[in-house]
Amino acid sequence: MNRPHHSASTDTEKRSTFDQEVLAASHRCALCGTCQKECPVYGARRREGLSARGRLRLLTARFEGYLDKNTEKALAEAADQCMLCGRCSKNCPNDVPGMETFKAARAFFAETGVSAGMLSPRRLLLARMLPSPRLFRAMLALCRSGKPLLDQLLTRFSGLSMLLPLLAGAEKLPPVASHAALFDVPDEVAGPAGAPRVALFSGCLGTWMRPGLLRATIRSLSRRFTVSIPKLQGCCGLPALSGGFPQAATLLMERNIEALMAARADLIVTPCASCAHTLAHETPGRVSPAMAEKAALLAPKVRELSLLMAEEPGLCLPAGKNGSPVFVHVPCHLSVSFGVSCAPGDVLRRAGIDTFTDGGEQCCGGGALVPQLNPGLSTDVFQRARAAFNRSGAAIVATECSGCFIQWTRCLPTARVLHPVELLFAERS
Amino acid sequence: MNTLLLKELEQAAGKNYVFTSSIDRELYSYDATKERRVPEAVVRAVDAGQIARVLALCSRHGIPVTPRGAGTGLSGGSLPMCGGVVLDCSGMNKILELSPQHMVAVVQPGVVNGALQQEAARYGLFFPPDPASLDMSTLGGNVAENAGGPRAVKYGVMRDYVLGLKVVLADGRIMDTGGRTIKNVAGYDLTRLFVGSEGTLGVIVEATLRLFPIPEHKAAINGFFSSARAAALAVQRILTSGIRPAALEFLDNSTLKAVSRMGLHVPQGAQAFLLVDVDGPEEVTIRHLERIRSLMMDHEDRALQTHASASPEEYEEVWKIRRSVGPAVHSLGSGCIAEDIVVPLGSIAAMVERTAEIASTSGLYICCYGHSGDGNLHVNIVYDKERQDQAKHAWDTAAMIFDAAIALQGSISGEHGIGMIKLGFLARGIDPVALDVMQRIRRLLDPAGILNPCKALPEPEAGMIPGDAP
Repeated sequence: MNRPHHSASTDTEKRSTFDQEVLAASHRCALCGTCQKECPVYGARRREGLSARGRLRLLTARFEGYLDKNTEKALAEAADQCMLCGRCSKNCPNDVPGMETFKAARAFFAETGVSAGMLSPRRLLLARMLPSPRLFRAMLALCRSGKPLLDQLLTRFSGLSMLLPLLAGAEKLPPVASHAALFDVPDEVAGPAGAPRVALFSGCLGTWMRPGLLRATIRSLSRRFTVSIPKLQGCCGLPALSGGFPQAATLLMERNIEALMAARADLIVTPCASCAHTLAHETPGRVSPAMAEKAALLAPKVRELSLLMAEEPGLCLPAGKNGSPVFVHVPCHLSVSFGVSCAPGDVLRRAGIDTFTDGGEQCCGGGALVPQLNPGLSTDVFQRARAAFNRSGAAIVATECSGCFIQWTRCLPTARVLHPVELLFAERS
Repeated sequence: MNTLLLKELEQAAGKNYVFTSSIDRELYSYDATKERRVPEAVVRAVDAGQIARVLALCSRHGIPVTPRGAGTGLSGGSLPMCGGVVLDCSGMNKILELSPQHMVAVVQPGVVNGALQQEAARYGLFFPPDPASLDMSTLGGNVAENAGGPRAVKYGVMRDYVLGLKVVLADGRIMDTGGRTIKNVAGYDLTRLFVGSEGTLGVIVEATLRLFPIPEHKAAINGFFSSARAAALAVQRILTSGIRPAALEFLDNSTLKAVSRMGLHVPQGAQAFLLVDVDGPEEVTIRHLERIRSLMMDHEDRALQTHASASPEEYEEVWKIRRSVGPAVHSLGSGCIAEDIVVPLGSIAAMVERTAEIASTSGLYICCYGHSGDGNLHVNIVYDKERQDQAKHAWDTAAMIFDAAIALQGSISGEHGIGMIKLGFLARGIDPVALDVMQRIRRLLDPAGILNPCKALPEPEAGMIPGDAP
């Protein structure tokens, strides 16, 4: 039988905070295995270590001293294998905060592991992609002084800087622009007289890779709203958070709060489910106390574009009949985070498009930097999504998330991957 | 495990399927009992031939083998009590055949019960055994533990749905039992011998299971009662009314208190709760629901209130309190002995009363709830795990509950199995001659004693003292 080799009392304060989080979760966990039910990574490989129960048990055993000392790297990898989709937390009958614990684990291993030289080269490389706080503040000062057009430097603040390096199949994606599309559109696009104001949060894809998505979003929103497009917005912070760099994420989140507050909008709309999740659910609890109140005010105003289109039919245009159905992939950050599974498909059907939807039940394996940190696992998770797509007979995938867009585009190059709004507001080439 | 043996194990199982790191061994050291026993190696099962080679090797060297499905058991069936090898069958998860004509499914042991339900539903069929762990637990584990669930009152348990098995014996031989027919009296019923054998007689590598047509309609009604006795009497009335409910569930006062702590509404004065589920053609379920409502209300010990479902949403609402019991009870204390005694149908009221008496004299918080329609009651004894004296007191109290069930001609386990949790209590409720025959069968099929040792049956030579708590 293994013997404990260290006790919590000898560890640093940082470690004990993390251990306390693990122990609290572990105390709640009944080891019943309900978390396995919908877990995409467990479902793909059916290994106990890929379930929330298994991962939590390992972190607990680590604290209890049951594991060999040379296992830290393997534990960090175990945390990196979680898609952070939140299905385990949502389904847990005992409210074990699996996703939050594994996010904390990523941060813990990133922080303590770097100094101990235990981290994988992959993560170190990712860490280098993040903006340094000093540079960030300098940039922000420049932006505030009215010189925001330092596009190349701004790409450093894009989530794409973490999503694209190390990504197999990145060449199948549209090229990253050297110029932010945000600066090609006006600060404000007027809607009908007396229309309410929305602030558009573009997301990294709209800003750097898919200018057509940004334009389609504005065309749709301006049918009913006056659209403000804050230029100081940046990455929502989710890639940094997934990478285990919560402080960097906080900096990005705080900048976004400032940018969005200045727009004085009734709603904040983004064509990315992951950005919507981060703005609504992650930001309020992760910013400094001084910003927390503002974040809490903004959070309830956040809408992913498809949901708003479902609520406001006037945002949509009728579309022509499509030959083969459109496969609707509902991102985890809509289905799990917002409990939405029908809205994107409903919007398209209402516009006259035949659809086949996965109902948000099938993770595509594109989230939480898993494609970058563990490409094989990400591909395994994608297999089920691919099978569902193949069964549908569709040639187009409609989805609302940057991670999902990247995953479907690189894994299924024969299909066109679009946001629903791009299907309804197609641009003539 | 020494290096030489490990090499042999790798040769037998395939190098890529043997795991010995502290992380891998930790991952297969637990189940829902929250006990911890660490194996020396984990073997990922891939097919019958590989399992046969592993078992033959382990038999030769006397290495214990513990088969494991999803590790969701409540009796410690998948814990490697004596070290050795955990045989992880969860990866053998193919539905090999689903025949709507024969109304059978042939499955590998790692298929999750819920996955079979989903696949069968595509053909308008369902698989009746419904343990609470249905969405996670594997059919191999369900067969080995003879699992049951709320539907047992109408549809029976796992035993009633296994038509045939493919089993790897301890010496490495592969045996087929039964077949795919509903009736089959050729030879001894070896299939039934393996159902509920808790991994002690062989490793199940394939099961042929019987499927039923999905009932046309489902409906449910619940009711709150002013006493456990009033509810138990209503159970008797319902069971003898000529209606066969699809589920008949009971919650006592302590369980209701735990549920109300979770924020669910429990009316004032309610001391017990019943949930009755009916299925069949819609017009029949409507009639049955009305009759059951009357059996609850139109009597001296009438229900305080009832609520019947009129839509699928309401159906879930009616079930809500019952479904919240697991987490509600889990949140009560650090330790909990989760038992599952079973008594004859006519003795449910007596068992509920006896449990209440034991609870009041023990001073422990005891929740009694479960499948009153088939006499299977979950008695959960809550205690402080950090206090040794409380743990012992809790087990002494559990022994009194077991004795009460046996005195009413019941049994100490209805669906969880004996495993290692109830091993010390088995001899109390089982005929000594029957126990001797069981031990001989076990020794005949597993002479080296490698299959899930220290579980299910007390070792004859170990001299287990009846009532010796684990």
